[in-house]
Amino acid sequence: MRVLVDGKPLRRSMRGVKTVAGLLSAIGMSSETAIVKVNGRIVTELDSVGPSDRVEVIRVSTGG
Amino acid sequence: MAICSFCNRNAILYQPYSCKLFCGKHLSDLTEKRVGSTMRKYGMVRNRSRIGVAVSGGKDSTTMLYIMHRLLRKDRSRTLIAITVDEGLRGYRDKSIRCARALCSKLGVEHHIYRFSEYAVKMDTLMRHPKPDPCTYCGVFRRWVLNLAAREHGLDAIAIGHNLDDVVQTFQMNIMRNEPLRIARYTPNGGIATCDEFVPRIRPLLTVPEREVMAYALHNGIPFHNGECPYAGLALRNPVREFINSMEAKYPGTKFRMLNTYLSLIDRLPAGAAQPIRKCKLCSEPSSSETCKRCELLSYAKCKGAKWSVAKKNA
Ligand SMILES: [Zn+2]
Ligand SMILES: [Zn+2]
Repeated sequence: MRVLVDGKPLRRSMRGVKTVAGLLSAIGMSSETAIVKVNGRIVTELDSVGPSDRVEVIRVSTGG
Repeated sequence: MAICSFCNRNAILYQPYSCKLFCGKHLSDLTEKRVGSTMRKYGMVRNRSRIGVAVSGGKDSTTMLYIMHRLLRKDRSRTLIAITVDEGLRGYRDKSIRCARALCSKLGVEHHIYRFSEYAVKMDTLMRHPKPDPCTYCGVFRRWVLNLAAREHGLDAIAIGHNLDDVVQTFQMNIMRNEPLRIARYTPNGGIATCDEFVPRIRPLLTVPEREVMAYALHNGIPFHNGECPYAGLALRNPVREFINSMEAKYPGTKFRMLNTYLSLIDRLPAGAAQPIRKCKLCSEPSSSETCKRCELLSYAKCKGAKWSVAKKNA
């Protein structure tokens, strides 16, 4: 699984991660403050992710 | 793939507080409906024809402009005028201003940029004297400049892109700082309408959660800058935001319950609970005390050499 956080590649094993919610908690984030795209599409925290997926985590920044 | 609760498209957002899933279209419909009913409920554009929109270029203000433009596009009696305040934060505001410009020209909305450096001092300079909290400076100066811009362009109100999260964080912070008058003054529809000098500030995104604003903006391809203010880490708002988000994750609906508490509180306040408005003795802008917060902060930061003259700047 390839994971980008705000455009930067994340070098960490995602073994055992099966859902978007699981992925967010593995990297210490929550769905309150992040939007996740899998293979270019916005998904929900209920969706699943697999080893062949390209994941982008976009932090929800504060400020207007 | 999770499927929308209202159609068979793929969902882009799950709402734990309603247990519903939304596709991009149904999230957009819901968000626009919420903004529209907030504007109606508080009479945000009632008897107002020139509506200013404070657009920084971040997700909230660009989404607010986009939705207000959609909702008012057939209304020939009302004009939207975008106002951007440039605090002079290099590497941050310059990028977001480009987004504000791009959206305004896409929508055909008149756009004016006001620079701190022309009316006071640069934020980066002020930050060498960080007094209480960096956001205090920024907020005070931004309000001052917006008020001035509103009068220069004859605006009847100015829309501020505060979303649900911002509103409940502000409420929580005012409790923590023992600022009951600030709670009284922070109203959805601008509050202090008693003074002609003060332009009412409206908050159309009042009932839209932050992450839903973000999902809306991404889905609708709105150009926005997703960066954090370089001084945000120093502010009280940050731990308050984390706390409320962790409560929301554990107890979905917390933010809406906080909003309802705040709205019923200000509903029950007697008229005139907020302080009467006077004129600042130094700059003659409206103020709740003898000298306004801006002038107070300016003299504290010993930045009195800054320019006081006022010149119109168009984008
Ligand atoms: Zn749908
Ligand atoms: Zn003053």
